[in-house]
Amino acid sequence: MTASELVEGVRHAFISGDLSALPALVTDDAEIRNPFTTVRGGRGFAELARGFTTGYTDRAIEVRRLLEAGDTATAELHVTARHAPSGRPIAFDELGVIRLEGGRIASWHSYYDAAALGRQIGEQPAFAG
Amino acid sequence: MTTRRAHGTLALMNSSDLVLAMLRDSDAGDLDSFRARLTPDCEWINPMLTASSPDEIVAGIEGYRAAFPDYRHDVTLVFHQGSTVVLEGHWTGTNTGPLVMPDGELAPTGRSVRVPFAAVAGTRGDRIESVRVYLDPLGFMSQLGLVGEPAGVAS
Repeated sequence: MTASELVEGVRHAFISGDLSALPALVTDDAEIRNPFTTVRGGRGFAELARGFTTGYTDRAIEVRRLLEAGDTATAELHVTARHAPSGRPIAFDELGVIRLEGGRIASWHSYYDAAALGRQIGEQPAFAG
Repeated sequence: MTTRRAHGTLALMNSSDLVLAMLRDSDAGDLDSFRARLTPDCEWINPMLTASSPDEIVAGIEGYRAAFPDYRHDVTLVFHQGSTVVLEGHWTGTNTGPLVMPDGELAPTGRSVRVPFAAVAGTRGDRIESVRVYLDPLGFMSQLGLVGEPAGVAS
């Protein structure tokens, strides 16, 4: 699969909540990283995605730009959703840095402002002093 | 600054080299050279700074240098497509100077931080016209001991 097809597959899974196709998009030992955690493989990716699909409703992801060079791609994403427990809307920009291997995702590193996201859902960081 | 280039881009490295040179200037504290690489209307966005002129951008960089005099960018990936450059790496530094925050100034913590970042830069001719930096300030503040460990919020 091309980078564009892989990104679209991930986008669709996160929006629809149907995570069944997600493992086939990544290599067996794929590294999936975001500001909070790092998981591996298709099962790890699906579990991570489930945290988003069960915790947020009204999910939408806009791919604003996709760049590719050889075995590397980046996806600039704009994510909107509603935090289910609080009912608060969220919106944030994310940059995904993706490495491809054999037509699948070998790594996906997500970069976004987790502090701003926490503020949007009413979770203020606890200052240590 | 260390770098690793993505495969398949060696024929089109001018934009990438320009952005890497800007980071070298920043790391070395050569802010005159740094400023000269920016267009007059350059826009710079990161979670802690939004600036739309070289003066504003350099003022922000001077603030980082005051707080982290030894900071540097370790770039692990760079590639470009057309005039757009993508970087990934780590920003490291030791907080030995006052850190200016939106709600006040924090005393030096003496702690070192190593923060993963990615950035997208736009170039125009031999200048940089935009930089968008993606990183997690919560992790940054956590490493400084200023907030608790981040808990999972979203994907």
